[in-house]
Amino acid sequence: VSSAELLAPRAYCALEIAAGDVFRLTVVDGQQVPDFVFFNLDDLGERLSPTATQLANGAFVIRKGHTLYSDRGRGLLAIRECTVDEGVIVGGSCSAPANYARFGIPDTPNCRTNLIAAGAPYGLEEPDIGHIYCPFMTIVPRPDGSWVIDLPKCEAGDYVELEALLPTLALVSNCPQERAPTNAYNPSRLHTWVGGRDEAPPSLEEILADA
Amino acid sequence: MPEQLAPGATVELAPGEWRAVALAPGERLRVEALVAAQTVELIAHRRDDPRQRLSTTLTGLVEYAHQPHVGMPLWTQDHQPLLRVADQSHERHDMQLEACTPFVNCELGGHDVDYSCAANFAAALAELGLGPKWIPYPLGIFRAAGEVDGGFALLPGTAARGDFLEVAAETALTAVVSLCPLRGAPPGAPTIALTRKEAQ
Repeated sequence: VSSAELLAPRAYCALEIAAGDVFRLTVVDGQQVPDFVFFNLDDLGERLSPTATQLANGAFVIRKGHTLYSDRGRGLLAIRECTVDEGVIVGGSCSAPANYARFGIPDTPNCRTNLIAAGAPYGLEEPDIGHIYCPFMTIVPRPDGSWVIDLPKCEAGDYVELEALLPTLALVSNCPQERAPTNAYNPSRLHTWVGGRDEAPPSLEEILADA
Repeated sequence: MPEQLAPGATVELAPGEWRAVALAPGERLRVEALVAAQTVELIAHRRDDPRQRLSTTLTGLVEYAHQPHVGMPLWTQDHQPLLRVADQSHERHDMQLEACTPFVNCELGGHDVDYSCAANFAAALAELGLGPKWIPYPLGIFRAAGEVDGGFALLPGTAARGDFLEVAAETALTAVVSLCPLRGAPPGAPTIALTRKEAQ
């Protein structure tokens, strides 16, 4: 049985995905980035490893055809499709302390708070949620080896589709960042869908009709 | 559990070995290469609240830099002061990768060993009453990753003999230094000198 949810700007959710099932996240209004963290649903001590994923795929930017690996070296999810050729995988997300340091405004909505809240019913806490896959995020390398976040290129209807290789818990934050280019300074809606690999996910028109 | 490093003392370590060092505010920790190419991973946790730990991600975001430079603060995940880069012979270090694991070791065709920086850090944090999930992304001293033949891979360690990095404690903390078994010399011979220096 498939499930679907329209995520309001700045919202979050937790999704359980059976092995072999598919998780699709669709950009509804355009230029919006999610933060994902993933765990083996049968053993929450096994989680997404950005470094294992980058080294095993031989890629800094994570794209269609790559596999997301756990810290135990097992494939968690395969990226069946990503309609935008961007994907960052890093050891942390936007947070209230980082936003305060960068923009001088306290207690801003942020992905870290969202992901902690999404994981709390599973007994997860702050140190568990620091391993992030961020499809659609645009980063621009600089000559000194650092990088900066730029405007996202995703448009309404763009999506990423992942097939679970293990039973997976996905925590999703609809990134609230509005003071950096991450979401074009305007957080907007995302749509999640989980279903069988032979089922048809809803189109953007169907998502909008149900909204 | 390796012995505590006394103030002013130096210890030489081999690949796969590690040392926890309690630093008072102002004290420094110097990591110096005895041979080329050895990489070192460093984590740190505040003494008054060990949950406050090095965050290379937050540091990179708020400092707008992904390689350490002299004078650069290294922050905790809640933007509390932890360390400051006091001196170094070059800036080619890593602030983006996780601690090395047995899986990564094998994935890269490394030695078939039963130690890793992640295992070393887990042993050190157990003494602080923290489980493995409290291992932060380390400062990868002399470690580099980047493009190789159109892909992404670890690069050879950036240290020449005599290269060093020195950090100063901004608060009372426990630093843990692990000599990465990846890309290093075979276990046995010391490759890094670790010195605890008094406040200046």
